[in-house]
Amino acid sequence: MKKDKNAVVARLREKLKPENRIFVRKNLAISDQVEACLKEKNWTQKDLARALKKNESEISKWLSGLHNLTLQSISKLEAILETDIILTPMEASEKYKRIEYIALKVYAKINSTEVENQADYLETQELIFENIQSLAL
Amino acid sequence: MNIFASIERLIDFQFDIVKYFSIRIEGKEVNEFIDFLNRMEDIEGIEDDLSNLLIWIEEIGENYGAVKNRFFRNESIYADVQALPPPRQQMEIFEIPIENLRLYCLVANEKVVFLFNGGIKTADKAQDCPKVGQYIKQANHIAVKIDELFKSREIIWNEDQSDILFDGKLEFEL
Repeated sequence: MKKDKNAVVARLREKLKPENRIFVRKNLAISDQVEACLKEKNWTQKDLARALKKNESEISKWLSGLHNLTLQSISKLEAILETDIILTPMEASEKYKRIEYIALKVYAKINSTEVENQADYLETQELIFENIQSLAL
Repeated sequence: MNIFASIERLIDFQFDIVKYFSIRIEGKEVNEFIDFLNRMEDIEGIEDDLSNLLIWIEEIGENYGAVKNRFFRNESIYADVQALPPPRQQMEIFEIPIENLRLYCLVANEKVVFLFNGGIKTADKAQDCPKVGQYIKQANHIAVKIDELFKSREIIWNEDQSDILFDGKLEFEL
């Protein structure tokens, strides 16, 4: 029987396996993380390619979100960027429980748009630090 | 003989961030992207790559946007075309590489992408490849035509440039 050409998307979507979706999502998340690290270091993909002694097109392939990155490649990225790219939930829990979160409430006059005198302005501000908490994860 | 083509909105690929389109060549049963999927559908050994491609198109459309030179690789082959005046970005052809599978597209902006055709690349240079060479040339050619449609305002941007507007009966000569 001749296949309905217009139904190809439905046929292909029916065949999608959960692991394919996980692969692409994680891959894009890794690419996003690397981009964020590059931004933080003020690096371009070219700088990264130079540091990894690879050509730029290979790095662009790595970061396309579709390349099957090996753990070795990810490790190289982590070493060069001097930061984690991926963390297991246990590692993440260990790492982030050390961060202290502080809840800070600030009360200020919100209707006043003009400040004639800085000292007067400061006097009108009421800053109350409340519920300073360390939220250990 | 003059061959005409029309623009088709890919109904199954309209996402929060990216809207995808393709073009349908006169006399063909389906548009170029759907033709690509049909040709690739039964090829053994690329099932996962094809699945990943579909999911990637969805994920980019839903969560990331079509960020050129990050998710897409520039594959423009007409040097003179690239030298034309702005909007230059509408003239660049990009490829989506999935192992050896290649899909060519035109990233008009981060929210509007035209998906064309492609195949399995078997040569180092796409232009020299017997499988995808014709499609990369076709994509580059269509990109020029689409850019002309933008310039003549037969295709226009909506207010926030998140989508395009055009007459459903719009046809252009290839």
